[in-house]
Amino acid sequence: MTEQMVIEKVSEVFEIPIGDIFIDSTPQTLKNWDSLRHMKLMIVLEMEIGKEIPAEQIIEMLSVRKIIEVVTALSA
Amino acid sequence: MALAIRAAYPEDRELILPLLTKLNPDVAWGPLFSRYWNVAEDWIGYVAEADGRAVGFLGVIFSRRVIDGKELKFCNTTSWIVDEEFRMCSLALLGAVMRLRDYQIINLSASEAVCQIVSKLGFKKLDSALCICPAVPSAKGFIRGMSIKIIQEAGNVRGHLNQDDRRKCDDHISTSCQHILLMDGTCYCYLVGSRIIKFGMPFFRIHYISNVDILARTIGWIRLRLCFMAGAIALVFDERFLKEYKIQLSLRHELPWQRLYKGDAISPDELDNLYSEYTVLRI
Repeated sequence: MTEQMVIEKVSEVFEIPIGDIFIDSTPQTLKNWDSLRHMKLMIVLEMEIGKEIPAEQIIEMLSVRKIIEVVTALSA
Repeated sequence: MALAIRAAYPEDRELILPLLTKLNPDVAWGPLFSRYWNVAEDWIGYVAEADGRAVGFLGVIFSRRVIDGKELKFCNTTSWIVDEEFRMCSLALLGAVMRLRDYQIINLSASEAVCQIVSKLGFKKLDSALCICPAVPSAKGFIRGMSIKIIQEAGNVRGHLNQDDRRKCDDHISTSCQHILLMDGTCYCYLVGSRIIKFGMPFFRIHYISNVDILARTIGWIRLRLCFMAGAIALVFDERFLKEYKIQLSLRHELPWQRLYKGDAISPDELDNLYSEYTVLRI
C-alpha cells in the first residue's frame, strides 16, 4: 500500500479533502480525527492490506507518518 | 493552545470535577479522587488539559487481586469523558491505559461508542444484563432459606471468611459497601453490596457473591431478608454471577452499556464488581 493510498483512506474516513492532509498531520491538527474514526480507519486499512493491525500499534498510530510506517511495514 | 495529556492525581480533584459533573451531575464523584488498597500506582486516571482546564478524563482504579492463587494487577477504567471540541485527545487518553503492561483491564460501563472503539483493541464482552430480584418470596429455596444464619457487619463477618475473602473484606471496609454472610451449616456465602437509589427507589446492589450455589438454593427466603436488612425493594446483581441458575420471580434488565475486559489471565466467571467504581461510588 503506497503513501498516497494511505492518505486517500485517511481523507475518506475523516471526510477531509486530501489537500488538507499532510505527512505530519495528527489528531490535534486534523479535525474529525477522533477515536471512533480512528478505529474505522484501522478497519479500512486492515481490509486493504489483508492483515490485522496489532492493538499496541493502533494506539501509537497518531500521525499520518506513523500510519504510513506501520501500514507499509505490515504490507511488505 | 497547549494540550497536554498526563496522569491525574487526587490533587487534581477541583480541576476534573466540573468535567465529571457534566458527565453525570447526579453522581457524587468525590471518592474517585482517593487512592485505594495501598497499591503502588498513585494516580487515579489520565487528564487532558488545555489552558489550565480539564478537557478530557479517563479514570482508573488500580488493585491487586489473587486469581487462581496468583496475584494479578488490575486496572478498572471508568468515566471516560472528553469535551466535544477536544475529541481528538480521546485516543491519547485511551492510549495511556493501553500502554500499561501486565494489567488486566476492566471496563464495567462501556457505552456503545466505547465498545466499538475498544473491541478493536482486544477487549472482550463480559455481560450486559442485570438480574433484578424483587422483595417477594419465591417457592424455590424458601424453606431452605429459613435455616440460613445471616451475619452482618464487616467485623462480625470477617472472622468466618477464608483468606481470599478476608482480603476482599479488608479492602472494602473503607468503602460504603455492606458485608453480609449467609451461613449454611459450615459453608458460607459472602456478599458485598451497596444500597443504591435508582429511579427514586432503593435497591441493594450486590457486587460480589462468593458462593452462588448457596444464594441460589436459598433465594426464595433470603431475598426477603436481604431486602429488609438493606431497606431495599429488590436485589440487583449482574446476570453472569448466577452462572447456570435461574431465579424465580426475577426480572432480566438489559443494560444500555457493556461490561468489558482485556487480559489473558482472567475469564469472565472470575470477574466480580469489586475494586471498581461500583464499590467506590454509589452507582
